[in-house]
Amino acid sequence: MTKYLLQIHIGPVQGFIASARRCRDLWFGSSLLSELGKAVARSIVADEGEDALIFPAATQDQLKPTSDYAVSNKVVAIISKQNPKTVADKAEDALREYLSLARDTIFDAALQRRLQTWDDAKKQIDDLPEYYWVSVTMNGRTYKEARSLADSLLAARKNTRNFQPVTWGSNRPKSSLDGVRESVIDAADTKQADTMYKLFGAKAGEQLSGVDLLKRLGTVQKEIRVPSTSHMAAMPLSSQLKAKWNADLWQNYLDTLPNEVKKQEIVLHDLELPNMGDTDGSLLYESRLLDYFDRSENANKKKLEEAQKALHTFFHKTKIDRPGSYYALMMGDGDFMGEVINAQQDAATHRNFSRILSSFALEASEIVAKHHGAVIYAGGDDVMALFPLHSAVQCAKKVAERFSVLMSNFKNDHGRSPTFSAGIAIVHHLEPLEDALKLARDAEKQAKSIPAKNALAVVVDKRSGASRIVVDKWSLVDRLLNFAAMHQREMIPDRLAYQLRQTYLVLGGNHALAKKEGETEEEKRARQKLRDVVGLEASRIIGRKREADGKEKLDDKVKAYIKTAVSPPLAAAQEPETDETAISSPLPLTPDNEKEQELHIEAIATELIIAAEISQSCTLAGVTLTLNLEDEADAAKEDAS
Amino acid sequence: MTVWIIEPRDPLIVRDGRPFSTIPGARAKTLPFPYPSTIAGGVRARAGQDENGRFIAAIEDVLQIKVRGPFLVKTSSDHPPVFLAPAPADALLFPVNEVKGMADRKLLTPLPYPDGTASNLPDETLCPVGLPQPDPRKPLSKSPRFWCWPEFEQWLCQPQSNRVKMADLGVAGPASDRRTHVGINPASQTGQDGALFMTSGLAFLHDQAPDRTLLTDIDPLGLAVKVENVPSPLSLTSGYAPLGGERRLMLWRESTAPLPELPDNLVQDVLDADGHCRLILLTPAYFTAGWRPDWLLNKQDKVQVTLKAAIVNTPQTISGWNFEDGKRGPKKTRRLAPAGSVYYLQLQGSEADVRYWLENTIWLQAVSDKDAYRQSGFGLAAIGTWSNEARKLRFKDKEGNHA
Repeated sequence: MTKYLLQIHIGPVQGFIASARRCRDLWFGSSLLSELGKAVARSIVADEGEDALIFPAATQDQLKPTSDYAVSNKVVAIISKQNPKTVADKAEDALREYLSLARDTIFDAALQRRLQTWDDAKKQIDDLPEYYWVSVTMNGRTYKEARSLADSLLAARKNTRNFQPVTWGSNRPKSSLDGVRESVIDAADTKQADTMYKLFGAKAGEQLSGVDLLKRLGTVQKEIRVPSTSHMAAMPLSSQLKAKWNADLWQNYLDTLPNEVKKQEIVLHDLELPNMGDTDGSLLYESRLLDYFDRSENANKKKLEEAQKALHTFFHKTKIDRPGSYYALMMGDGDFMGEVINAQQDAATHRNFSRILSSFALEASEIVAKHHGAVIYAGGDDVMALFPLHSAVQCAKKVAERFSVLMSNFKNDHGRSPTFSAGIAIVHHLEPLEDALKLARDAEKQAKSIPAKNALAVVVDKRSGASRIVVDKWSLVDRLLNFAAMHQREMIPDRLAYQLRQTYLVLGGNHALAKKEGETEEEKRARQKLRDVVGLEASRIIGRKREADGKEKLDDKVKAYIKTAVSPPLAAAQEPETDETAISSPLPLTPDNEKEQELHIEAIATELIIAAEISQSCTLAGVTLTLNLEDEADAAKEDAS
Repeated sequence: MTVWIIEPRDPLIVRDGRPFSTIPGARAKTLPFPYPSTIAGGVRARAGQDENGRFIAAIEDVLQIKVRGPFLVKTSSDHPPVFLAPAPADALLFPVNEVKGMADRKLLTPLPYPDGTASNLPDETLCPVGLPQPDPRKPLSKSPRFWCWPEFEQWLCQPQSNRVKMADLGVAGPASDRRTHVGINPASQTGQDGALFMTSGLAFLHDQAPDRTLLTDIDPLGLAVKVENVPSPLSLTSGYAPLGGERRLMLWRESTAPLPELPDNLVQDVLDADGHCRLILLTPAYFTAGWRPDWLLNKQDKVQVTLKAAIVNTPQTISGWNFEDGKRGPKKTRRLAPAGSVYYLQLQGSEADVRYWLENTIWLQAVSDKDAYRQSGFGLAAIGTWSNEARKLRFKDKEGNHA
């Protein structure tokens, strides 16, 4: 029998996952996509056996519904027993059957009867999946040739997105999440806070389509629901909640809250805050209380005041600090994966590659858990996770290191192994989740846009002002933690970032300090002198601040570290890494990526601002950061190796 | 029969379907570019107003007004507007390692299935559309979303894979402008607690040239729209008037500039290629069957049209708000084939008929499926060549051998 290589793409991916208001929307969206992938893989295994699967290279056990194993949106298999079209069509049927089953489990008979628009909800959900496949005969083609052709053909197939017209259109309001489908919640219900919570897990006024409700109500395994962004932002407070708890004061506070709030704000995961049981961390925030009381009525205003007062008393008397406002969302995946897969000569090595990837996903989940984070998705080379601020960058680096170790045996045609790049968004817990997702995704792109990748981008979106981003190799983590340690020890003033920028502008800014085309040796020396001035000014500002505060003088090592970090000598300032072996190193487009050529004051200022946030979070968490003043050059060497 | 230029003085808000209410934290999000219906609605509302800004015309009269657009234009008071076209979906831009601001532009083209291959394209007669030779690089995520008309015209006449300077190719289009507002308590004239809300709008500025730092160097962008069939006594007047959400102000002015013309030899090139051509959407199109046109493929003006292949990306969704008395409220959602989509066609008919069809029925005319959508400018089309050489291309492997 002729062998065929079958490649299947399942969608929609980004748009579907990103339309999320709550963490559970995001989590369920990702896990539903993975379950649909599993349904496809199971169907192929049923027809062709376990050995047919190349990616994911999973066993029948691993592919069981709701197993821990995550499948990405692509399935690759070798088909030898049946016509590939028959196998692909049956797999599509299996996918649709799984979706129908999930739909009817989530929308049970009672809910179906309750919704006047159940028929529309059903149409919206059934219309959701995108399913594209291609097959290539392996007769007369090596595995490598067949795979490369299948890739090209699948990319070409996906260029014709044969979408169907909307069959449920009506003059009802559209979804609050993405605005692309009609809401299926009855108009009368949307006004009733109690009904909205009980039936739909939604707030009053929220409009949700059938697909949105599928995500909102979809609880495949209750216990692995992810925490809310507020809960994540409150996590650094754990040790204080443990040590200084007062149960009576807390109960007094809870007594001021409406019952539905207490029922709504519960956690169903294992990242509980000490002493708070299944109560969500959002109840620690006074700002969240505004959401819980409808202030159009005077009686409610009074109740709100009582709740605020009780919460204030709890914090005041226990001497527990107020929780921080920021959490971190990380998105990362492997670099050069396509090239490395392209270089795999046969099905067996590709299958082995898939297996190692799966073990990475499981290990990444463990690493995230150790850092008090919550995985939203870890499958293939993709990791998306939420973190409390005090452990985010450390964890991201650990994940990246583990990835590189696991992948070290696989190379592209130029002998390069895959590495890991990630974007971390530091976001206010009340900001819409979709904004955080966009920031993290853009940051990830920036990390991947620096030469040879293997990088981290951290973006911080303070509620005041524009977001700021810093992008560098993974040594960025050490620098951030060192700056944070210095902040914790009050070695650097909070305003250093702004003062540095001022100095830079006074000296002539980019015009005077940036590298020029065809500059002479003399011009280069002059530029170096100006750069030195900025570095010296940095150490002067630090020293002056200490003296003004009457503190002991700073160690010369600290001054030297900051001077070098702020203004590396030109010899050490790296030219952009030219990497002839990396075919796909993209063009650096943004000023952030050109910083090797320039004195990167903006970047250092941003690093200092991010470090200040990390240091505050560590202080809340009772974590003292260690200060490691090894020469920056060592870290750079580490990156290069 | 006039082209009108609409220059947003403030960021234009053309909201997506998400409801926008007075709940604290509410956000009004704009679409990345206005749909034709928004502009057509704006034109018709303006044409139906008296001198005091009251709408006095009969609905059926203003609905007769035919609107073609919106086109993005670079505006300047000294020069005629420079038209831009949405980036065609059959061009992929790849990063060039060593040169800043440059990109490798590659042509996607219909390629017959290699031996022993299959896919689930919706129709067996359709070809997949791809790169003849695979490129290991990932396409640029930040490439110009709108091309300058001369570049676009070149691509219509003689599409070629080549290296381009992105700043010359086109612009990123309107930039997002986010503003935070606060609800005001009317009694005390102070901000309300927790009543922050946000709007995002489109700033019509061309900010693609990072080396230009002076504000005066930034080119303003605007929208151009051709307005036809204005029934007497209705008329449009120049001046400032609101458009879109939050009643943001736009300057409306008449222009003597014509719409871009059909390139000279293009029709002949199509005839020489046995009637094979590309139809590129300049505005999103509404087709009753989703991605596939119907009206276009039904014999028009004695020309038989066959669909051979298509590049259609993820659909755009439109709903809108009905202001008509008795029908007030949200409109139904519909899906649109996005601007930039490319349909590969074969035209059959006499030379004269094909010529007439291309020049009068298709070029910068709307090809959507229903009159109302065509009348509002959904699915404006441009024609490009699909040469005999391009039709000979086949899938190749990395080494350049035929697969």
